[in-house]
Amino acid sequence: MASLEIRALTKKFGDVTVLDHIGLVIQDGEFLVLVGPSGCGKSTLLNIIAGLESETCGEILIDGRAVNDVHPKDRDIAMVFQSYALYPNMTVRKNITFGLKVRNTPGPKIEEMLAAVSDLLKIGSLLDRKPAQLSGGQRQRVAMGRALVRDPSIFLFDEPLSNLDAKLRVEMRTEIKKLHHRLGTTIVYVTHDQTEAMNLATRIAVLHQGRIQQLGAPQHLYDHPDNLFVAGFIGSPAMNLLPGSLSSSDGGLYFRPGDGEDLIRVDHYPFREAPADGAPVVFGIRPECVTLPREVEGQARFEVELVAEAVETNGFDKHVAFAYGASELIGRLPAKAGLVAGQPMRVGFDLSGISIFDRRSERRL
Amino acid sequence: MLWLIVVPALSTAFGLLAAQLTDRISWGNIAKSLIFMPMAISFVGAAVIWKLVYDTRPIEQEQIGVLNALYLFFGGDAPQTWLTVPFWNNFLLMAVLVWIQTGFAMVILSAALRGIPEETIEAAIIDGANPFQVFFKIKAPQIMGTIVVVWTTITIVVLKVFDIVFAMTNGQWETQVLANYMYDKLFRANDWGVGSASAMIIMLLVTPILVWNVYNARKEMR
Repeated sequence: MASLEIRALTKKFGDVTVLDHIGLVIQDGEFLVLVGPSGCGKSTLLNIIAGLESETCGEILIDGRAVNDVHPKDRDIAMVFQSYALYPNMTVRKNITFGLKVRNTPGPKIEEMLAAVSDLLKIGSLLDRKPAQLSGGQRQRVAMGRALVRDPSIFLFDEPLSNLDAKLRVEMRTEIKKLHHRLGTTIVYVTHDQTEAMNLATRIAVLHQGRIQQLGAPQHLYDHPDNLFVAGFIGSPAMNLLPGSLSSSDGGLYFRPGDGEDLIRVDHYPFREAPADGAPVVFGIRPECVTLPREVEGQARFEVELVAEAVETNGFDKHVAFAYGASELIGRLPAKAGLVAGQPMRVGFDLSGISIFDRRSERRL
Repeated sequence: MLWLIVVPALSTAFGLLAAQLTDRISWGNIAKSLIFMPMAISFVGAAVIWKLVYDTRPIEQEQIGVLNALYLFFGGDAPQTWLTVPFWNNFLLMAVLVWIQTGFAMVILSAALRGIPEETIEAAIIDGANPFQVFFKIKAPQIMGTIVVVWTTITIVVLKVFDIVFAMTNGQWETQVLANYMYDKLFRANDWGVGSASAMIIMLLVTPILVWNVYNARKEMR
């Protein structure tokens, strides 16, 4: 187990800056998920931590020791790859013990560690098979076994679940979570799937255009996104973002959607600094806060009549797309709510969990 | 017999080495073209070129053969007639074929090496393997099928080798090979019986290797 610190890490490919002054401190035993859209630099960052790619500038410290010039094998890390990267010519047993053998671990010790890992991952019956004879989920387990057996201080996962089918993905996700609980090792996990990130992480770092957009606990990112990118990226369906402006009248502060007449009261919103009257803003509201009026509790509420344009049934709830002025608004309604596409209906906004962003800087107000 | 072991082994080994090294350097493609170039030369042409390399002139004259020139430069007392030294002259002839076939082996093996998933190599590096272990335990086993195909293909070429021996020594000084022997008996000695028999033997030797080669090549394609 170890802590990991990244200081002002920059990576350039030619003129293109892939990572721009990344700073990150990962505590001992933490499960940090790096999440972002394709091409945001998250895999590059992981490869640099592993030592497979070199940084343009910046520092990487494992347990306070700078490892920039340390060979990957001496960094005491293990990595699980998206494609599993099992050695096709070796049996599962040899795949798992390869790392121990090349490090000259004594034979009995290898057997002992192999037994422990195959027990933990329930792959005892697969040991004499070749990777080609395994299913995707089994390969995934073997790949994790190969990482676990070395008992490294830091685990790196590079989109390990993205090649699995949906059901298996959920299963393995739970398994990884359990494993982390049991072993308590430091994990850095890369994914483009925000659901996976929310489920697994103790902290999430959202990466976009080579910069960390926000770093924090999953719930904090969900409730208090720092900027428009994070607001749109975290959560599924995504947060509804309505452009408009702020206006104060009758001693209250209101949000007025771009082209509408509605005034949504936002007095209760904890502004970081007092906004200017008429300031152009983006109003963010989570789909679960757009629902039937009777589902909305508390004082901070708003009601409006909207037309349901499309209805998606999920079993436990319904995702409904409403037209609201020029924008589209996704709401989550109870499964039992009787509604018909094309019909107008009363919709309630729960305003207790809204986010308001400056339209120019795209930052949270 | 010696040909069957030495030529495929050296060609494949050099080809693999060249493939591995040229993949890692910036001017690798130029190097590859140079190594591949002999493939474009006919066997007779290559034999003539190498005969000049092994050429011998009387001691009072300037040596035009590179081998003798080097030999004298490094303190040899008299120029040698290399191609007449029994046993070793076989290797001098084989060098010609190795020179030609290395390019072929390199091109095929280099393509195979590039087909290895990069992540298995990265995984091995993180696992702690040194470059030799990565090459012999991770890369080589993954392209074993291709190595076998290259090896058997070159073996077949070796069984058929005729032009090089014909042009350089004509089988004299204990450098005889099957194909040249067949030619000698069939067209020079007019001994059709022995000539046809040696032709049959060549065919019998080539057939199983050819079958195996095709089998492996198909397996590779799958």
